Amino acid sequence: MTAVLRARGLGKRYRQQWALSDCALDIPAGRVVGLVGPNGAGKSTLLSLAAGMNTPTTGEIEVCGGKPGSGPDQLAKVGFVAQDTPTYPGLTIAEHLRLGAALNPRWDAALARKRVERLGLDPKKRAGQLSGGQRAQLALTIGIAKRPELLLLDEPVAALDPLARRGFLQDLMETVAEQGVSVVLSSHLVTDVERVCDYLITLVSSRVVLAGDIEDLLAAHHRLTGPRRDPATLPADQHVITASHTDRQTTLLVRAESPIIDPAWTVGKVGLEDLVLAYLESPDAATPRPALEVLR
Amino acid sequence: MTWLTLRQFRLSAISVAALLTVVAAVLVVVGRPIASPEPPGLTPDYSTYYYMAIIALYLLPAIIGAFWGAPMISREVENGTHRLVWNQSVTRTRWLLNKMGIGALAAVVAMGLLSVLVMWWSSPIDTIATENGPAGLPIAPMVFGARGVVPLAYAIFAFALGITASALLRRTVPAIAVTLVVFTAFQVMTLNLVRPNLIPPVRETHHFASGTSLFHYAGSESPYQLRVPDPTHSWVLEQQTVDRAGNPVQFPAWFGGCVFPDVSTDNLGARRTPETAEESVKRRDECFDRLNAEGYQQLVSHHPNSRFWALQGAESAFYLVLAALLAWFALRWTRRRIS
Amino acid sequence: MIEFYLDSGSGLSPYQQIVQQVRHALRLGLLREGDQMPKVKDVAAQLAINPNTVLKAYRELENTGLVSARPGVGTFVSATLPGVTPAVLGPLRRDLRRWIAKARLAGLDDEGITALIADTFRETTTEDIA
Repeated sequence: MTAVLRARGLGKRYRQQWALSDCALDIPAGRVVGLVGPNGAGKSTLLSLAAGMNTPTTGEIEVCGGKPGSGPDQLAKVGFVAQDTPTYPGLTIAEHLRLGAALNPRWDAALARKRVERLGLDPKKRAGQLSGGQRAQLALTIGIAKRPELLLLDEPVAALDPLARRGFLQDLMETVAEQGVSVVLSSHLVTDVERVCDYLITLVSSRVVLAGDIEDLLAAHHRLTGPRRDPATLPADQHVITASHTDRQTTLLVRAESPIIDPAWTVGKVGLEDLVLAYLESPDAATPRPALEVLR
Repeated sequence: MTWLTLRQFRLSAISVAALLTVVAAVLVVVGRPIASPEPPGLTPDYSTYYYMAIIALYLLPAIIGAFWGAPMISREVENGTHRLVWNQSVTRTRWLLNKMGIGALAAVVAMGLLSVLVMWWSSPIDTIATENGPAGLPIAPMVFGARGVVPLAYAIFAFALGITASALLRRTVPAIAVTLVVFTAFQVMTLNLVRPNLIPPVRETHHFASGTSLFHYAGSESPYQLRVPDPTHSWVLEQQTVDRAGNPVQFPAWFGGCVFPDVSTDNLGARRTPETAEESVKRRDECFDRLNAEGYQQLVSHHPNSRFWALQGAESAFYLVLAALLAWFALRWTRRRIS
Repeated sequence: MIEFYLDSGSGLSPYQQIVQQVRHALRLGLLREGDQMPKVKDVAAQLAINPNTVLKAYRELENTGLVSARPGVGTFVSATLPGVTPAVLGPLRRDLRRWIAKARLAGLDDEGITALIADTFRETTTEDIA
């Protein structure tokens, strides 16, 4: 399968601080990728690098087969809706659409007009008068009507109320279904992206700790509960992410490629949020082996 | 792209157009001045408008730099809209080139209109201008920068300077401040260091003559200086006394005592017979004759008024080259350093 | 036409929920053979879920022969599931009532009863598989 985003040894340093380091990724095309991690973990940096807003300090990144930001053709392939969904406060909605049409050869004017109509936005209204949710929708409209191959969205729902958030994600999913566009969507909350994503990347303090198809990730992780025992006695192919103990009981979150057959354990499923939290809690668990990459 | 540039430029352009309209209205209502070569030559009212018009010509480039150039990139960064506009299918380079091109064109048009207006209004004065009034010669430092083609070059330079400050600082208010300060500094520097040397000045040596040469108090640094009459219709840069070998000197040690004998030769309180007027003139003649005899001369460097267009061309080229370098740097910086 | 919903407390993944809701609807007679299924795009937009998830559910339904896709037209229900008639349901419910009464007499509270049912149910299903 062709990768829509490919990174090797990718790193970005701002002065003395590494915002992203040693990042290796292969994101397949046609996915909706959730990019999660705490604030400051490097999510925005990764998206900026992919959009070509930034140049990497180390390593390389390839997006849709080209170097990010390398020319008008490359820019046309990638849509980027930055954090806080910037728009020109003094320009009207209609003027924003005109801007999109003037600056993008593949602009889908009918789509843009229809979306604005359906959202109930007055084209004569200035962007400065819109609510956060409406502005996000306007920025998304410009991103979609550009008809990119890859749409990068940096925390698009963070500033939205639950209703606007749902509306935004509904529209996004409709677009994915209609256009087959690949999406990378960042958020510091797993619950924001859980429904819409089928691929997950978790960043913790500038490193990728978990990346892969969500179903594969869920299938590869198990919660084990049983009589108290030392996690070191587990078989070699069972890798402990987190462990907690009481007097009598041990609870483990393990990664294992093969089924758990030890009858002493009660084996349970792990939810996506718990899985991500486990990796956020102990990011070092991912480092003994390279970040788990499950590719189809 | 051009549509967006024009749309974003609309308000700034209208503001400057309004400003020009006000200046034009005032000058037209006041009417062209009536001037005569005989003193006083110009009424105080006309004189005020004449200088105001010159100041307007100096101000407009600063306004263009500060309000067209300086916000160009920084305002986008402040609003985060650079992340919107630079992620459409147009490269930053093309985006900035378009804005630079249209802005520079507008700057030339605005500046050209104001120049033509002011020169039309001032021409009755300019045609009879001499170094003694009623107004400065075209070559005179203050008038020079407000006539001919240099104002256009200043405007383009200020615009490029504003954009560069905008790219470097990424904040509008500091960019405006830096643009104004640096532009003013450049204007002062050009006047003192660049313009005199764009073309080698005319250098002439003159003998002294007691009737016209002067020995006058010139300030605390070098209390007394020798001077000969300035060449007419010229911008005089420097007068310097030189000895027989051509080395710059102040004046020979004996000269002060020769011209003012009672200052240096007499003891305090000694009685003297006052000189008659004829005696005094004769003694001064002898002093200057002795200067000439010992080979002292006065070196005068100046640009005659006839060099107006040559200097205009050279100075415009200087500013345009600087503007081009700044534009190149701003493009490069914007492409590589802003995220 | 069927309208889907997602229950985040169900413990089932969204795709499993869609499959289950179709099966339930077929059993209860809400969906019949020949009915058109909602478009993938509309389900994705309505539920704000990944279209791949909907596609996956539809593919599974297709594999089990419950629906079939007609390219360019849509997806249609192509089979029915055996429903349970009230005649069968009645006696079963009666048995269960009797059992619950017995459990209460034995001292189990509501929570104890549901836990016992769930546990036993799980046990029997694993036995069935094994």
